[in-house]
Amino acid sequence: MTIQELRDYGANVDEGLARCFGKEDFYLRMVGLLAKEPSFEKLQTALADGNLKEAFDAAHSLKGVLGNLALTPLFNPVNEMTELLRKETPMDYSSLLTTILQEKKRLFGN
Amino acid sequence: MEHDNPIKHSSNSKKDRLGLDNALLMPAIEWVAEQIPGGFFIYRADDSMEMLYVNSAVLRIFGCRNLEEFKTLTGYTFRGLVHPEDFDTIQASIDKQIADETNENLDYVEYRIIRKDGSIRWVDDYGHFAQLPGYGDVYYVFIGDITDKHLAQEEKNRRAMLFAGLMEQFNVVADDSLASIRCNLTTGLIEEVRGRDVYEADQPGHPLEACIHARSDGFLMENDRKRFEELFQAERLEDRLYRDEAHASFVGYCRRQSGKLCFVKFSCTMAKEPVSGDLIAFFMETESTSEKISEVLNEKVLVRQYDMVTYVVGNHYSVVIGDAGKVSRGSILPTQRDGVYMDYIRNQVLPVVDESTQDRDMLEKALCPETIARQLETKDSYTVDVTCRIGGEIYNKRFTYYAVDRTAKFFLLLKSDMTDVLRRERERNEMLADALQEAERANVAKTSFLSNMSHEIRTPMNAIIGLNSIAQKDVTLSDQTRGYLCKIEESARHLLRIINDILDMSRIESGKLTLRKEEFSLTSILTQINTMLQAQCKDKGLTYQFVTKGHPDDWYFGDDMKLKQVLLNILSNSIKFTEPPGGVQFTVEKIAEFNRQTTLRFIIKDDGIGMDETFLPKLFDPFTQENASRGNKYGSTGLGMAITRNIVEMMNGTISVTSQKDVGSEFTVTVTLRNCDKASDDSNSMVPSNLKVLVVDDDPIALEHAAMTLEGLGITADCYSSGEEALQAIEIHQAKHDPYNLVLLDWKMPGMDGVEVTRRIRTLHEDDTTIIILTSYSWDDVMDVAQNAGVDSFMAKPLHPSHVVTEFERAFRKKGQKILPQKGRVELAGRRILLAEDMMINAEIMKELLSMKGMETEHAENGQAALELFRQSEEGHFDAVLMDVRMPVMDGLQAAAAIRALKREDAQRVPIIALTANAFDEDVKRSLQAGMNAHLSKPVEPDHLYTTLEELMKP
Repeated sequence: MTIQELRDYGANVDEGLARCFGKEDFYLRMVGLLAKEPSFEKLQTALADGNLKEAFDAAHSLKGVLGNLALTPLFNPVNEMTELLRKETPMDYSSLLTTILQEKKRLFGN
Repeated sequence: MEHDNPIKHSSNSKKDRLGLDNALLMPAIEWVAEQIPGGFFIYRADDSMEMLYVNSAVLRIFGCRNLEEFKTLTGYTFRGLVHPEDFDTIQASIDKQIADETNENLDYVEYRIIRKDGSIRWVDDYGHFAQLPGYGDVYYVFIGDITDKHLAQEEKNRRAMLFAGLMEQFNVVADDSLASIRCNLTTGLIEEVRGRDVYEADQPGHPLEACIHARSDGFLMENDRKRFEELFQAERLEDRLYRDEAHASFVGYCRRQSGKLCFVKFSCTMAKEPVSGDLIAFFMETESTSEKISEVLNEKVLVRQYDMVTYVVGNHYSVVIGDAGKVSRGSILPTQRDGVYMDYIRNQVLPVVDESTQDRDMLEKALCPETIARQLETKDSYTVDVTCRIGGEIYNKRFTYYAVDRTAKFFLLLKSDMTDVLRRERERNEMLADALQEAERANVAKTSFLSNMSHEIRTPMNAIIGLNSIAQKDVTLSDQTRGYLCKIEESARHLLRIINDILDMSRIESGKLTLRKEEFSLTSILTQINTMLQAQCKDKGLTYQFVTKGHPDDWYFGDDMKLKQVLLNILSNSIKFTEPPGGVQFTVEKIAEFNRQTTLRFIIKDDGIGMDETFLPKLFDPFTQENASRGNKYGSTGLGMAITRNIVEMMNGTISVTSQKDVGSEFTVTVTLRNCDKASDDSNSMVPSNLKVLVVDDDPIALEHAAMTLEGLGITADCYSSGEEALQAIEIHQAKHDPYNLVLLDWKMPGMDGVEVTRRIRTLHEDDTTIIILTSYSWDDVMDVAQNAGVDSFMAKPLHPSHVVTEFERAFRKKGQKILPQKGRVELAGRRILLAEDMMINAEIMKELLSMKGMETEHAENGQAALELFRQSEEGHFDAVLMDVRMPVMDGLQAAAAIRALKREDAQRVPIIALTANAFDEDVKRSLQAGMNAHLSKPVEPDHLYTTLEELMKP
């Protein structure tokens, strides 16, 4: 993955880089780490189980990381979900989850 | 001397009448009469008193050259010959003598005549009444000039009378007489002595010298003795009399044979004894002390003012005036009229001195004769105030000394009672103090009235201006309505200006208007003024010209708001009174710079309607306008110029005006300002969008208006309606390390007022937030209290957009100066940080972040792990804990609380910083409750993290 690819993806690269002190390799390494992040799966499972509390924890954690890395297209739906889960809003989260997973896929491929 | 023969003449003239019976008698008499050396004449003893004959000696007596002259002078009658004043007297005498049978028809009189040359002579007149055959009753008279004899006799009589007078005086003994001595200077012996204080030597038959000598010994001054003896030597006195100086006198201070010391006057009057011709001297010796003293008294004092008048000589005193019966209690009058001065001081004065107010030893020194003499060497008087306590009461005595004779150390002591005077003075002072207090109360009442009124008017003004500006936001308004709203705003602003003027004037009058002495940018206020005026002039169709001369500096020390007020007052006036196509010219000139002080001159010139010369002197008085109708047309309070002048004067500046009706006016303001080292407008200029502002006001309209005003300037503000809410918000922002730069607090709020909120902010938090109190009251009275509480500045409500930025900048600048020494920051390198973070990526980033500054990180995946790591670490191992809040197993809040609960010293003080994506206030509050020190929101800004750590970690 390259900086340009991240930029094309829609990440606020400048912000993300700034938070990584302008170190491109460090930034890219961090983004790479995200691909294996277990919170995505945790979120999926919790939502499937209807455990909104656990789902919130997972979404919240993801939100922090995504915010740090300034991966805006992924951050936005995660943020939206986090706030909904915070209030344990009873609703169908599947479409929002789909958006998140699609964005993840768009970033990392499978 | 040639003159006619009187006889021949006479005989010729009388021939007809004389020749009847006895023609030979007359020539015979004439012949005899011419042989007599004295004057001889004959006149008829009838009412005509016609002269029948005069001899030539008579003509000589009367200074006439011939009979014709004599006839002209006297009318040739006996009456015409005598001095008119003497005639009646002598005629009566003559008649009486002739009528006396024993006188054989002889009489003698003396009288004055007036000679031809007008001089008066005395003559004697031996007359004889006779019946002359052929002539009937006649007087024949012998006269002679006795003038010289007469004068000599008069002088003799005068002397005799003088002598008799002196004798008489000598025999009468005066009260103040000590001794009277009559001495015959011709024989040199004393003839008679009288008096109550005579010396042994004063005996009839003794020589004068002995008397003089006996006295001269008593004089205290050597000099006096010599002069006295010389003056009264017998020969000297004789010499004096021959020089027609019949008097001699001498005054000296002496000790009498009784031992008494006093001033004595020894005087002598001399006269010749009329019969013997001996020279007699009458000596009078009198005591002249009181005479001498009254001289001084009359000159210096009113006797009535003193309860004691005493003279002090050497160490001796004698009371002159001082009646124990008449003076008030506590007069400390000497028990004896004469005595030793210091005995009196030591025995009577010093023992009653009130020692709580005066030192006795000091007083004794001050009252001793040596001090008095020294003090009076150069001074006219010497005063010592003595406070006495007699019978439990306080008496104030004043001892005033005057020099009567410095060389003789003869002083006058006047003692007066000042108790009443001082009491009256005290009472007067109390009265004055009361009056002052009353006046102050009235002034306070006036000030508070004005302050309250201003508030009462401003409160609804807040609503009017606030609601009006909200209403203007409505885009659906018709143009007409918008026009109305604009007019409402204009009027409201005008009304506010009037209120401000009145408040300013009352501040000036009560001396409460104070000037700031802060650095300010002259360029900045000139720019603001120019922007404002250019627009105003353009609107009115006037030209506006701004000129600078002499390169004024950018920065000075002073009160920029007040200077701006002065210039705007004048400039607005100029615009107001100028009609198109006229113009206003504003010139700023640096005219002098000396000793780091710069004198600036501001000239405001217009070609407006001008003013009449007669009005100019009144221009700067309050409530004056050239004519009342003008005021209405142009709309003003009549206070503007008075305020302007007062402010300029407070700045030690000057203001002057020249004006001509229908030509224009020119105002000149000159002020001197201290130079400021600041070179140019640096970082101090405020970027509104960077400001974090908190506004607190219980009045929702005012709150909304404030928010809107700030928003219009690009400032976003958090709004709260109570102090309690504001305090919470501030606490949260502090914890987030995102404190407010500026807190605007309404003063009067229910519950906690602005000043109280300030006090709490200052107690709870660091001092770097600028706090401004908003009020519609006059803040003069609470200024001190507010500033002590930590208020930085005041602003009037409702906020005016044009003032906000300047006020904020000023407040920041002031604040910036105050907190110049930055908070102590610590070195970050080498610090060990415990990081609790469940998300790997976040942890990695955080680790990297920390290592950038040379910090080591120990990572725990959750709160439980972090707690364990901390528990197992050595005391003081970790310098700080970064704690994610949401973590599995044990969250950050629990972990923080658990760490704080550990029984080890560093568990209490290690800084714990919450990290969370949730920056909601509730979250911040919870982390604070859990014992954490700060709350940073993710994503974490590196600089923010560093400063937080720097500030929280122990050095």
